[in-house]
Parts: sequence; C-alpha cells; structure tokens
Amino acid sequence: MRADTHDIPTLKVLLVGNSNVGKTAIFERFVDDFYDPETTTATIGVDFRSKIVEVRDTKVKLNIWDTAGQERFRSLTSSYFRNALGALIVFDLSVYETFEQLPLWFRELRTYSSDQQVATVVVGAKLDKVGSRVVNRSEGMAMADKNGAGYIEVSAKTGVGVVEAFEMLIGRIMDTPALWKDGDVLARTDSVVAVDQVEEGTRYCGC
Amino acid sequence: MDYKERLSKLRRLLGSSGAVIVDLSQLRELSLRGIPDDNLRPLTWKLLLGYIPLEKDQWNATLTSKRDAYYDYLRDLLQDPDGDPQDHPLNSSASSKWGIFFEDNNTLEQIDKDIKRTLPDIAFFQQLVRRDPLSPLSPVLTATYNVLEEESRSSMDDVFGRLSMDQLSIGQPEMKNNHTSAVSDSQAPSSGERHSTSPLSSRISSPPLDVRPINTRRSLFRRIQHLNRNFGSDYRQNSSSKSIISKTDVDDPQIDDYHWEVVERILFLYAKLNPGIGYCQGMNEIIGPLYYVLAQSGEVGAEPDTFWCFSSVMSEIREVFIRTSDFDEDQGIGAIVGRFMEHMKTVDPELSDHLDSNQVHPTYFALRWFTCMICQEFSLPSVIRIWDSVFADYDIFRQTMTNVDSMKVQSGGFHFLHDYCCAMLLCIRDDLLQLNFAEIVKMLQCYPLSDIGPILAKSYILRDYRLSGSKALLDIIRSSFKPYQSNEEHGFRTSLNTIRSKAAFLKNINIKASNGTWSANSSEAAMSPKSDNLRESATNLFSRFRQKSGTPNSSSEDICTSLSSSRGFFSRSWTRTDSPIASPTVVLSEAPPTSHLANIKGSGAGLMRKMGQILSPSLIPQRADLDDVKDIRSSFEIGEDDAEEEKFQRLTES
Repeated sequence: MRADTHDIPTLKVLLVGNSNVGKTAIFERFVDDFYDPETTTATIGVDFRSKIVEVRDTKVKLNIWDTAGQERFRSLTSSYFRNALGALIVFDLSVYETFEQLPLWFRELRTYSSDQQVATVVVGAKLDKVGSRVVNRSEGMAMADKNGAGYIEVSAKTGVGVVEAFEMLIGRIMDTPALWKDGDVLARTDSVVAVDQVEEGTRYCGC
Repeated sequence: MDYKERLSKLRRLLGSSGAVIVDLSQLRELSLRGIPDDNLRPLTWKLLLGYIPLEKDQWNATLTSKRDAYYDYLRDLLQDPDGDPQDHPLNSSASSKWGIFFEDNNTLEQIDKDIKRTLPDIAFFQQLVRRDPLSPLSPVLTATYNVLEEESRSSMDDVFGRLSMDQLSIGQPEMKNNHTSAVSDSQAPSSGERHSTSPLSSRISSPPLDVRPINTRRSLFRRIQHLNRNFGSDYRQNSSSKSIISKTDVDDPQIDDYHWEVVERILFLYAKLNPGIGYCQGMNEIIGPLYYVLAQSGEVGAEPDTFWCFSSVMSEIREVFIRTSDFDEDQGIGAIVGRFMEHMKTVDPELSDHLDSNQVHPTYFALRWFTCMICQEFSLPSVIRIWDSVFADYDIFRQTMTNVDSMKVQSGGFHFLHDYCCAMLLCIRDDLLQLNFAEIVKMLQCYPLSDIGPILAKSYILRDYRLSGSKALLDIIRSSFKPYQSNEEHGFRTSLNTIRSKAAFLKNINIKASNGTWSANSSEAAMSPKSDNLRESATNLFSRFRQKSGTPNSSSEDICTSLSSSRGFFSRSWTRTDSPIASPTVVLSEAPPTSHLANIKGSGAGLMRKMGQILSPSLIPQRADLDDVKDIRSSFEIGEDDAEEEKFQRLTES
C-alpha cells in the first residue's frame, strides 16, 4: 500500500453542511460504493477516509474529512479545515433551510481553512426524493456562482453524481494555481508531508 | 469469584433476605466484571447511578416521587401555548410562548432525525410500548378499543409475554415476594398480567385511582408530524404490530407509543429542563442503551427511570456536550481527550509517539469514543456490558483516590471509560505501529475488534494501575506488546522499550541522523513514572550543563548536539535504515567507530553513567564487543559527584 501510494499527491478535502443533509451517505457512497439508510448515525466529530482517484490522467489521493453538521461541533470541526484544498458544501434539496445556510458554510470555510482560495462545490443532495424537492436547479446554481463554487446535484441512494461531485472538486483544485504556489501540492507526497511536519512544525497537515 | 458465586451474592445483596441497606462497595465489586444477571441490571444501574437510595425500604417511595416528578414535568412542558389572547403564533417577541414553541420544535426536529437515524437497527425501538394501567403515559383504556387493539397486537404480546415469563422464572426468584422492593411492586402487576391470559375486563374494571393520564403525551409527535409522513407509516407497517395508524391519528390519545418515541420525549424534556446544554448529537447514542436496559423488562416506570438515570449520566459527562468548554483547559471534550492521550503516553509511549508523529490527533477518534461513551464502536450488548463496569467503577461519593497523575483531574467520574479507551488502543497497538496516517485513522474510526473480552481484561489492569499507581502493572501491560519482526528485532525492541520506559531523561530528545551524530528535537517525550529520579537527574544535568557552558538558554537540542560525539556509540545498537516508526525515536544512519569509546570515557562519562541506567544491559552485549562492554561498564562506575562535575566541565569544553 505504502509503496503504491508513495508518489501520489495527496489532496485534503472536506464535506461540510448542516446536519442530516446526507454528507456521510455521500462519503460512504464515494469511498465504499455503499448506501444503507438504516445504519447512518449522526457523525460525531469527524470521519476520515482516503481514496485514490484519477482525474485528467493524474492519480491523486483524496483524504476526505466528513465533518459533523450539528452546531455543537462547529468549533471542533472548524479545526479540521486547516490546509484543506477543497470542500463539498452539501445541502438537502428537500429542506430549504439547509440551502439558506450555505453562505454560512462558505464563511466558515474562508475563516478557518488556511487558504482563502479553497476550492468549493455546492452539492444538492437527496436528488432521488423527487417529490419533496424544494430548491430548484437554477436557484442552486445561482448560489454556487455567487460564491465562486461549482454546482452539482447528487443522490447517494442511487449513486447519481457522487463520483462526479468529487471529480468536479478535484478539477477545481487543479484549476486554482494559488492553491499550488505555496506548498506545491501535487508534488507533496505522503513521505514529504511527514518530513514537512516534523521539521517545520508550522506547516501543519497536508493530509 | 466465579460467575455463580457473584450471581448468588448479588441476588442476596439486592433481595429481601439481604441486609436492609445495600452495601454499595460490595455492589460495585460484584458488578465490576459484568452484572451477572440481566434482570438485576436495571435495579443495579439505578443504584450505581444514585437514582435510588441504598435503603431498600425507601426504593418504593423514591421511585414513586421521582416518577411523579417526571410526569409533572411532562404535564407542564407538553402544553401547547394557547389560551393567552395576547400571544399568537406570529408574535416575534422573545418572551412569546409561541416563539419558544417554535424554537422547541427545532430541537424536537433535530432529536427526531437523530433518533430515527440511530436506533432503527435495533428492533426493540420499533416496537410499541406495552400498555399499563399504572402508567399515566399509557393510552386511556376503553373496553372496545382494547379488544380491537388486543387482537391486532397479539403477535407483540407473544414476544413480550415470553420475555417477562423468562425473566420472572429465571431472574427474580427472591424479588417476587419482596414487597418492599419497588421493582417487584411495580413489575408484578404488569408482567404477571401480560403473560397470563387474564380476561381483559380485569384491567379495565380496576383502574388505579391515582393514575392521571397525560393526555398531551403525544403532542410532541404532532408537532413534528410533517417529518414522519413517510417514516412513521413505514415503521408502523414493518413493525410486528398489524395496526397501521394513519398520520392524522398521531396525537390520538389512544395510540400507543413506540419505544423510539419515548426516547424522543425523554431527550426533549431533558433539553427543556437543561437549557444550558439543550440537545446535542451523541446524547441520542447514550440514551439508547439506558432505555433499552430499563425498558426491556416492561416495567411501568421505564420512561421516568430512564430520564433520571440519563440525567445522572449526563451530570458526569455534560461538559463534553458544551461547546464553550471545547477548548477549556480543565473541562470539556478537549481537556478530556488531552488527558486521555497524556495517560496513553505514560502507558505506551511508543504508540503515543507513533500517533503523534503521524499527526493523528486524538480528537479524530477519541472525541467520538468519549462523547458517545463508546456506543458507536460496539454492539449494544457489548456496550451494556462495558457500562456495567463503567457504572460499577463510578464512585458516586467520589471517595476513590486515583494515584496516577495524568488521571487525577477528570471531568466526570467515569474513569473506567478512560481505562477502556486506553485498552482499546493497546489491543491494536501492534497493528497501529505499522500503519500510516490514513490507515491509522481508518482503523481507529472503524474499530476492528468486536470481542470485548481482551479489551476488558486490559482495562482492569489499567484500572488497578490507576488506583494503585503500581508501576509493576504497567510492566504487565507492556509485556504483552508484540515484538516487532525477527528475534533480533525482538531484542532490539525490548531494549528500546526498556529504554523508553526509563528514559524520561530523553524527554525532548528526538534523535535523528545528522552527520553520523545526534541532534535532538522535542518530540520524544518518553515519560515513565519509573523514571522520576532519572528525570530529576536529567533536569539537573541539563541545567548544570547550561550553567557550565555559559549558555543558559541553550535548548536541549544544542546540548544533545554537543553531546553527540560521546553518545554516538549507541548508534550501532539502534541503527535502523528502514524504520517502521514514522518518527524514528532513535535512528542513526552511520555507526561511529569504536574509537569513540575513548571520547565516552573522557568527556561524557557523567552522562554515560546516566545512560547506563537507562540502557538495558542486554542491549549492550547484543551488538557491542566484549571489550566495549567492559569499557562502558567501567565508565558507568564513575559515580562520585565530584568526578561527574569534572566530566561535565570537560564535556562543556569539548
């Protein structure tokens, strides 16, 4: 495992959004291609997994942090934002309030991630709940545009759009040169990161 | 004490034939290794959590008054805000009852979502609460309704009937006749009636006079009815009950509650009564096992009992749910996790280093372990078993002394939870040591062991260590650490462990390859209680060195660099080119020649003497020549303070 991943650049990305919008479902669908409505419990703190994906002929290792949505964990989860290069900001297409809170999540990201330019994609979740939809597509796209984010609608239940959402995010990270300047992200491998951390101490975590 | 003995002792202790006052310390001792009888668990937990007093003759009165208090809270707080002509739903002022009402509904929605997401995998929570004429929370009984209901719910009653019968025949031979026991008093009518085929009329014809039904008990579910459009009907269809209740009936006073609805009601009431905490995710996890244990027997007061026991548990761990305490130094989840890792460092410095050097912050896993009292990591039966120990170890009067520094200040009295979490790490430490960041976090977030036996076994040793402070117990723990790779490696690792465990001295020293010599930085923090003296010596050593060298502010790093030539000798024992330890504690790329021994004797003798104490003798012969050993040994003998001073003098000059 270690040998395989040795030279693959590592990207830290986040899943954020209100509680119960389906972050963990998207996360599990993407990482394990698995969906089970019965066993998803509220995320406490943060869940982490990594996955290697290929985008534009480049292999990257995604370190994905699935954060708790509830207000109570805000101060804790924001500490995971550091050095994130991108974030999926998830809302529930069937609950308007979760859409209204998107600006708050943009603000949180800009405040707590170390890079102002952190790439973002707004993800409308639960696309499968056709009848209950209360946020329409143009509204969602307008919100994303206004905040310089990508926009995609997904269903973790059916799997529609999940992989694409992550690919869109990686693409946006690749397209944001400012994210590279500082740390030369794509050149940063696991081992390099480890040395970075030990020697510099200040450059916190690339993973 | 074997299982049978514990069982009979516990029965005697709690039964009517035993003493009139339960001996708490004996109860704790008997429960520490698991409460031997499932049917005694509800009573035992209530006692251990301080919900009911130790005096058996007061159990009944206490339960009655506490349960009544709960019912009164419900009567007060489940009222809809109507009646005041000045107030109306669109009133936006803060004091508006409607305003509070809508705010409450947000809480309620959150609870509802979490409960439904948490408990669906346990069938129990999808079942209906058994009716009981003694409970104000049971539907109002009417003859016609009951006949219909009774028929439609016959399949459910079978389940419950069997359950209670088993419990009565196996579980409580003594309790049955114990009229001072609240448990038997309240259980006998309900359980007995359930499994018997007594005619329905007997229930209706003799309703207890003092039971005032709470007609608003389902008003909560009406408030969030819109959320249950799909969910409720799904479950009502799926559950063993054949009665499908349409959504319009949600607050019909004759509808039975589901167990998950009861849990919601308790959490809502707790949030209302504790506005400083409110409701937080994680509480839903904690209340699950409590309610399951207390309600499974079908006892009439399960709901209020759970509320009070939950309140007791929360009083110990409430800080973890308070956001403003997150970064508090003494309390809050940050402090708890911090102290937990501090303790880990004492117990297993190698693992602690490994996690540190891989940037695995303890909040990535321990936050959830502590917030949910490990509910999310194990199956329900395991959690209940672990909680037996947690509650048994819990000293409600706070008289138990803790003799380990890192455990002394703890938020909450659930020390065993710390022991257990510590043991969880220790049980997989050999695997963790070989993994990188991503793999470690994954393993810790999806804990791989489901058999809790070995984890508990280690927890008990850690508990003994906590209570006694005996370092010998730590050695027992460490002796099970798996040797790494080959036999040679084993020797190396054992020695390394010995060094680590003794090497407070090496605190702040992280040795890495640098020109074949040693430098240091501050990530090695091998602190062992064993090394108190050594630590002191080391501190003195360094401070004297600073004085002598005229660089009072020089870091340990500088000092160690200066000392490097003399200490380089040890590199040969520790050279590892392909270290599995991500932040090599001791890695030297180049072994200095034996001639360095001369330097050792000459300049670093004082230090070497200390090193001699640190080094396990077995390490030296392992790779050094016999002559070398002799030399080292002799240099270790240099012991007089004067001589040491002199060596330091020379050392600083070199």
